Amino acid sequence: MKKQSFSRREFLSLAGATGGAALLAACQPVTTSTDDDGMEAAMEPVTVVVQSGWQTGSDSDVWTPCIDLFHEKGTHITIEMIRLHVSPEDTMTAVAGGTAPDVYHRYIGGFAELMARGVMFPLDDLIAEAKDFDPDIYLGSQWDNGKWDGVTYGIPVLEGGAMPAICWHKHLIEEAGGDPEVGPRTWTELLEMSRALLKFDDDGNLVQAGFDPKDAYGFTVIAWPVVFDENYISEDKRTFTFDSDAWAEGLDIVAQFWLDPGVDKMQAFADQWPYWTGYSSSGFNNAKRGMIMNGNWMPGAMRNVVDVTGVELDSIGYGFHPNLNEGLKAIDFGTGHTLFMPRDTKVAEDALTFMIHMTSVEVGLIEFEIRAACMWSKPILDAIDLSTVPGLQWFFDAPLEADRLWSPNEFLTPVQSQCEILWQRAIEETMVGAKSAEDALFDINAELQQSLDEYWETQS
Amino acid sequence: MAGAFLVRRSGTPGSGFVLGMRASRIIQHAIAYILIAVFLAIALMPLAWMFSGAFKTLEQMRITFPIQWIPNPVTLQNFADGWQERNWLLNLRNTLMLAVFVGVPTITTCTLAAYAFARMRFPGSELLMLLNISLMLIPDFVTMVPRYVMMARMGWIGTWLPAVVPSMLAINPAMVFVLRQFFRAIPNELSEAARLDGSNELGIYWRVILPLSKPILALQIVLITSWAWNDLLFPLLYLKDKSMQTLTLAMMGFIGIRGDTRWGQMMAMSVLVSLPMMVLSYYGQRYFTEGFTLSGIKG
Amino acid sequence: MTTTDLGAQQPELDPTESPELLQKIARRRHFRRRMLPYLFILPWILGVVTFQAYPILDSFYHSFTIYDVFQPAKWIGIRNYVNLAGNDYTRKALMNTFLYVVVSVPGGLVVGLLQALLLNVKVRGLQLFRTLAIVPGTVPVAGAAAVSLFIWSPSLGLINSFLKAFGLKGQAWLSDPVMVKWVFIFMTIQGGIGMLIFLAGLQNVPQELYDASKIDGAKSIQTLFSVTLPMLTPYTLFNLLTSLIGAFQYFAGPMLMTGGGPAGGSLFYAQLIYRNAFTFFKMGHAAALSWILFVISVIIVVTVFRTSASWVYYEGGNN
Repeated sequence: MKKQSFSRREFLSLAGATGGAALLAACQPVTTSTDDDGMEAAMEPVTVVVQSGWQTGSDSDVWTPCIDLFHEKGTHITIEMIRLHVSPEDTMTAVAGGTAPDVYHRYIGGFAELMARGVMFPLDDLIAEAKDFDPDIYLGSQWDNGKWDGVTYGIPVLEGGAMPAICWHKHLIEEAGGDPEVGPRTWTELLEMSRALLKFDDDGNLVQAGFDPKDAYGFTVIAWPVVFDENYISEDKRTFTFDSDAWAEGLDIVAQFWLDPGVDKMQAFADQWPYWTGYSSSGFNNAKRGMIMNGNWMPGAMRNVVDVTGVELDSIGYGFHPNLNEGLKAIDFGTGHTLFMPRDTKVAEDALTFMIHMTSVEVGLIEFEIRAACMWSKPILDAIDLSTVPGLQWFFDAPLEADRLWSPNEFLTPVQSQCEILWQRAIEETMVGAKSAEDALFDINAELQQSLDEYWETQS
Repeated sequence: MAGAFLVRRSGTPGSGFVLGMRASRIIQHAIAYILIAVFLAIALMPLAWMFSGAFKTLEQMRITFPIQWIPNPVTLQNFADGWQERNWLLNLRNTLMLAVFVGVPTITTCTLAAYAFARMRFPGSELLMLLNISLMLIPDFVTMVPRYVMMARMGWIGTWLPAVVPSMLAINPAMVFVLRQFFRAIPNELSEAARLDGSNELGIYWRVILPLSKPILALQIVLITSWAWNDLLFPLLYLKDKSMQTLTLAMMGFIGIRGDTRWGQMMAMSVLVSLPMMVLSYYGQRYFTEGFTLSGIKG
Repeated sequence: MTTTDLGAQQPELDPTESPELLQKIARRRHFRRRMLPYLFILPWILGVVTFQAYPILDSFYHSFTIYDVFQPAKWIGIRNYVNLAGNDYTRKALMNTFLYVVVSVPGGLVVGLLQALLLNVKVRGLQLFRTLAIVPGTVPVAGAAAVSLFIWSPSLGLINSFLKAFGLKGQAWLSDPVMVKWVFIFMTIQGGIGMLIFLAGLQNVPQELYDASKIDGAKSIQTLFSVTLPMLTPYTLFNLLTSLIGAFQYFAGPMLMTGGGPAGGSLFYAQLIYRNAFTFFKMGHAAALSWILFVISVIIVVTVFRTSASWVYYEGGNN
């Protein structure tokens, strides 16, 4: 009742407004921003606009408690959140038009080309001046996540780094003839176990799967150099090297996981048992998939849906993921989260204050409680209470045990988004048999090289 | 096809059918009902799945065989969660504002231009019409960035001006083209009669052409409203400010990255959001199935 | 609006006063009459000059450059055009789009016409049926894409379940590079707005024509071809042009459902443009792609438009 009268009145007043002077009033800028950011204005109330589409839903909202905590500190800064996934056209037009929010939150990959094109605000000077912030809190090379060509543009926050391991359902590995405490150690073993775990019903539908590279790793090319132990871009970022033997061998193995059961069977299975482990209906959470690796998989998400799935955390085994270079205990930090500022922000100092707040132990504890995940920072790893998440000890110790902590910095290119899409294309071409792995990689390499050359042409 | 001759047949005694008129009419209507039922069943199936999904838990939403159309148990949680996540009334207000700010000026200026193109002879009209058609052919995203940068330099982002001003300048080549097509089909005798009665061009436009074009104008109103209801690109670029966000942006909030989309809430709110459009469709279809051009002189 | 009043009321002057004045008035009146159409289209012209011309010229210029929006453009002559000609995914997208245009445009017209004829049968509940036929088009895009995935999912999707019920073999609709383009072509063959426009057109066919046809002893099917279809031609032309234009720019479905895959199977030309412009930051390349598409579609649409005079019947006269 109330709703209806509201909207009708609104509608009428609007319809009237188009005719007269009210139109002009409606066309006044809605946002009120402080014009000067000089010294006098520093303590004036300031609004910092942050945009993110990650973990913003009411049931999994990480941001609200962290922002509330920030407001409780009682600074002159107010945070306003735009809860929208940061899409490319949105970013490009907003930055080009000088109307971007003050802080973007996104995975590192999609921002590499923005850093490479001078679109992001360089933070080194500000960070040097900032009190109570020390980049040394970051583990390994994670700090390099937000760097391009030696300049810092972004600060890693929240769920830092990805799951450093392969995880498996112990009882399923036992069924497949593996050791439930050790799991697969090489890609050959992984492929064999995966094959052994495939189960079909009478109609030929897949009802249980082993490992699906798309499930976790498949979504970003950044993750694969760690697996193949070979980069796809030269150190000076001028030459693509997808056309190497290691990548051809790797892609052949990747494709094999779908070719074994059949591409359509795997797709049908994925539609029925979704990838995203935040879902109580996800395949791995329900022990319909035997193994999972990195990326989409966060153990905390599984802890939160135990009521529905009945699968407890201690029935899961963990290990360093298999590697083409056997025995290497490598952890990829490629898919962590980073906060950036576009170059035109008027409130860089204040935005940085908020970004630093997001790296604090308090924020780490909030995220840990909600998702049993946190940033890999030394103070946070010290502060979390692992007894509240039985079975996850290994997960939080792994970064300390690894002998190599990769940073995505090594894999980022000035044409990263194209690199991601063409890598997906190479996977698909191999999977459906349109091209051999070698040819597919050769073709995407040529196309990417063309774009990369163009980028360097504009830099000279 | 069946429809046209079925209708016409019904009033045609002895036109080929052996059965009596009444019996043949019953059969014809039965066939029509069956065909309509088949067509509607196909067209409405996705909608039915959306309605059903809105009342399901995430686990029930999984595709199974046989397909479960009726949720068991029925949950209203999706509606409750979806509703409290956003200020939907504000989003609704903004959507209506967008529809009005774009609709009123666009229809005004486009009908004027279309009238000139359809009913007046002037040097260059053919050429300008071809230009208009060419403009229809340029994909929006080609001009998106330069246009956005233009608006941003004028300081229009964060206001409703990017919606209002281009609309006042007839930036809708497709609508100019449609209206011109339909104005052209209105018999010349009507405007000649008005001219003899002393009407000038503006009078003919206002008193002859527009009244006869109510159905096509109703269609344009429905189209613009559903654009305001469904378009993503414009709100994403120009209406991102919290106080200006429309329903589409609110809906997009349910789509996460890496697949963490909240399907249940999305389907529930899709149902709610499409309800007003369904009501508008009902009233709209009554208008525009009266016919576009000759409704004023029929019979 | 007020400016158009210029052509309205002429000042009443005594024409007998002097022949010069009379001539002057006549000239002025003539001038005003000649200027009047331009006043009607003045907002349109201003719109073209301000909000259309600049962005279009901007994009044309940039099609000869390397341009990522953030840094100054670098002139490279026709290299973008040469590069896109040599790219096999550009060709793939162009072929997919042609196939889409050739099948889905006529298909959509026929289906829209059939649906309109069906919903023109005067049966009880017609208003409800018509409303229900429009309703699917009002569903928010995001919701619609989710539902489409359910329909086309392999093994367990709606379509395959039906096939299975009839003892037929299900298909891997979206994961087969050949099948997937047909899914999108088939999915978009529907009446939609075109159906409504035909439906409206049907209301305008004068009853006298049917009566005359009946008196001549024409069968229903003959009436359809000799009266109904010719009377619908203006609407057919309109639907043809708008659906041609829409078809050349089609990309929302594949973008949401398959991302153009697998292996470019559902990559349509507009998505290629979008991707180059906004995902790859290759604005220059995207602009070149757009201008190729523009030239192709202008040729086709203008041809249709020019030939229309020979088959479209305007009651207001073909002037």
